[in-house]
Formats: sequence, structure tokens, C-alpha cells
Amino acid sequence: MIRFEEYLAQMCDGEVIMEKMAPALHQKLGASPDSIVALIVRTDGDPARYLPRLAELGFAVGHQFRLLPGVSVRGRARAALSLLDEAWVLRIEEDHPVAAM
Amino acid sequence: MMTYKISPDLQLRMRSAATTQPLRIIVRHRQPTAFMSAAAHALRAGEIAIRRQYRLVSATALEIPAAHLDTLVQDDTVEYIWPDLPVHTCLDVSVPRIRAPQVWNLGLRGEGIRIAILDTGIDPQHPDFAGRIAAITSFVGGDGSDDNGHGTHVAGIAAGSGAVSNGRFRGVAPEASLYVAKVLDANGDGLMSNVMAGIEWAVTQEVHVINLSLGGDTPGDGSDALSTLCDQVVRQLGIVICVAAGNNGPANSTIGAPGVARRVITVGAADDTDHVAQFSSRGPTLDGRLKPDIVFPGTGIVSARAANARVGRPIQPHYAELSGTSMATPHATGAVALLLQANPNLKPEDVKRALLGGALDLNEMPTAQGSGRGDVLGAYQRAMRPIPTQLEEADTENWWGSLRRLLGNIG
Repeated sequence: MIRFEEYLAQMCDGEVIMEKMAPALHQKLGASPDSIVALIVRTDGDPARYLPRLAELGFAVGHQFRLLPGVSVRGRARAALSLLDEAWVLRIEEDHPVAAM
Repeated sequence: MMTYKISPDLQLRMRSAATTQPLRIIVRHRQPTAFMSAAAHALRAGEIAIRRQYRLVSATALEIPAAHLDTLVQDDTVEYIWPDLPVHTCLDVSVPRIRAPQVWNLGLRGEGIRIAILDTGIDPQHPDFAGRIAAITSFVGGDGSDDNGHGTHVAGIAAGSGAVSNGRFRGVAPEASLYVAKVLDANGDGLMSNVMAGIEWAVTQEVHVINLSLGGDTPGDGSDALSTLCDQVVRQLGIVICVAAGNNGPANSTIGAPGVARRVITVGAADDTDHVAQFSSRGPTLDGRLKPDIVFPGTGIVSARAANARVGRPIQPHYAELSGTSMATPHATGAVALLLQANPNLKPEDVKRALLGGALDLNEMPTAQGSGRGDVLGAYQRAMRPIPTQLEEADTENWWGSLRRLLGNIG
């Protein structure tokens, strides 16, 4: 059984059920744990509360997001995998490049 | 070299062209029957390619390495040589095509509507934006000035006044206010997180519509953070977001984030002949939804040129030509601005419904054209009707037509 709040957090726009980390990203991080990665971490509320913990894990925090609570961070792949055990982390994904079209 | 045979603009191009670089030229012959005798060897060797021969004038379109041009010039049968220049769709063509001027004539030019352009910044000195840039910021360093040219071009399509061109290159909503966030660097590259930060900033500026002529290359299902944020902004805050479909066509399922977001208006590109551009990314999304939503003109668009522009073919000092779904998207954004000025009570879903319902069916696959090519007058007429409680039949007929064709193709 999952808590209702967790269920809500797993819903994306009410239509897609999220997983905490895509298997492909999990595999990529595990393959080179010392590499530096750019990530977007969605949190279960105001991300400011979790900045000390992120710093403790060695992450450099970029932007903090309020509308879709979360942060952009850079850090070791190993540390990113350890975020999976943090209860306040709802989703971890790569901060993908975008470009002018 | 007998330079009198070569047009001045071709001479200019030759100075910067590498000797192996192919040049497209048009050669006029002295007599209708004459053909290049001196160049015959190169023709036979396949070094010169004949692209087209004309009958009404004694001329031939050729593709030729720059080094071979002298051979042609020496040929007695050759009278004159011009560059075969690409033709382009200026804003004075694309904007009338989508019937924006008919809506301007009703007194609607975007006044009071706040448009956010999240891109490579803007040239704040460009006269076409004078007095209408309400705010500029940057999330990638610098002050938001455009060091690439893409953002200025996009802003010109959405809301340029055309002041330098005496109104010729006027954007779709030429009296709207601009809120500009630089989220892409001088190379036109950035990260999703920068775009997300730009969207949050635009929300604090209380903009009505956000233009995102950007995106990722990886096909998506809309569950990524950027697409989710876009959907949330549309649904919860009532802000319309127009997003470029991408330039990875014509293969299917080539739309990336945030073009795959559910509630945004995803915009593909149409060409001069009202066909979906080859490069325009196609749907469906990875989770099987139909995208793009609509197409707008996006090939060879002439719009505002930043002083420091590094992209686009300069047409005049203040204008340049660019192609892409990036250019199609601000046509949609400008159209949205006109609709919101006409009827401020419209919700994002009403705006989307009006745009899609008013579109001209191009009789192409729904995964390529969406509901068709955008038409501002058609959208305006739908936007001014009483808001329906459910999709009107007329608004869905393009979709049904498209769906029938899709099913027909499968069957």
C-alpha cells in the first residue's frame, strides 16, 4: 500500500504514473558512478528544505522550482543513486539539453 | 576573369566561397541554341550539374564548384551569370496568409497582451520593438541581449512592428508587450532547467502567452519535468504556451519535450505552398497521442535581425531569413495574443479549440499537420462565439477528416 500523497506524487498531470527514475538512467548512472551528471530532482514540497541534504551529498544546486517543486543539481552519479532512498525525492531525471529549433 | 559577365552579388559570394564549394547559378546564353562549349568537358565529367533548363529565356540553372566558374565565364556562349538565390516568405507574405490583417482591421493588434519569449534573448535596440520590451532577464549569464539572433527573429514574428521596413515586416501581434528571458546561450543551446526557470519567471510577470521555440531531440511522452511544468502552468494558471514541434521530420514520433506536453499548443511548420515542411517533426508522442496540434508558416521567414546575429541569412541590415518550427511557433503565439485581446475571458483550452477549429485542412496526415494550417480570422470567429460546453462538430471536422485519411491509409 502506498500513501495517498505518494500516489498523488506519482501522478503526472493526472494521467501518467511516474517512476522515481527511468531504468535507462539508473543503468547509466550505475555504469559510471563517478561521472558528473546534471539532474532535475522533483521534491515533495518546497525544495529549500532539502538544500542542506543535497549539499551534504555533494550536489551543487542550480535552480529551485516552486510551481513544480524541485531543483536542478549537478553531482556524482553515485550520489544521484543514493537520492532514491530519500523519502522526499519524488522523481529524478536528466537535465536534458534543449536547443533553438 | 571577365567579371562583367558575373552579377555583383555573385562576385561577392565567390570571395567568401571555398573553391570546392558548390555554387548554384543561373547562366544566360547568347543564343537560344547556344550551349556551353568550353564547359562541355566539365559537364561530361559530372563536375557541373544541370538543375534546370528554361525555354522562354535562353538560360540554364546549374550547380558548379566555385573553381569552375572561370571556365564558364571564358565560354563565348555565356552572356551573364547570376546566383540562384533562394526565395523566401517575408512576414508580409506569411502574416497575410494566416489572415492576421483581417483581424487587425477590427482594431486588434495585441495591445495589452503580454507575450513571453523564452529564447536566446532579444536585441533591445531593434527599432521594431521600441517601447514594447517590458522586461528582460537571463538564466544563462549576461543581461538577456541576443548574442545569437534566434530570439530576436522569433520575437519579430510574434510582435515586431516592422518600423524599419515601414510596416512591411510586421509581426502577427505588433502592439503586444514583450517579456524576454534568455534561456539559450550564444549557440542556441540550453538545459531544460533553464527553460523551467524562465517559465517560472514569466509566470511572475503575469504574461498571457509564452513562446517556446525550442526543445529536446529525444522523443517523449510528456512525463518529463519541463513538459509537466508546462501542463501545470496552462491548467492551473491559465497561461497559453506555444511550443515548436521540432525540426526532426519527416520520420514519425520525432517530437521532443516540451512539444509533447498535453496542454500546450504544439506547432509544426508549413511551407510556401501550404504543405507540411519536410523537416517539421511528426507525431504521435511516445505514449500515442496526436501531435503536433497545428502548423503555421515556417520556411524562409524574414523577420527582425539582431545586431549580433550569428544565425539567419541577412536580407537587410535589420532583417534576416530563417526556417524552422521555431519560426512557425511565434505565428501561433501572435495569433493567441490577438484572440486574447478580442476575448479576455478565453481559457487556454478555448484558445486552443479556436485555433485548431479555425485551421485550414491541408489534407495531410494528422501526425504531420495536426488540425491543419493556422488561420487567425477563422480562429477569431470561433473565439468570439459563446463558449461551447463541449467540442463543436465544426471544430472536430478537420480531425475527423484527418483520422479518416489515416484509417484509409492503414486499411
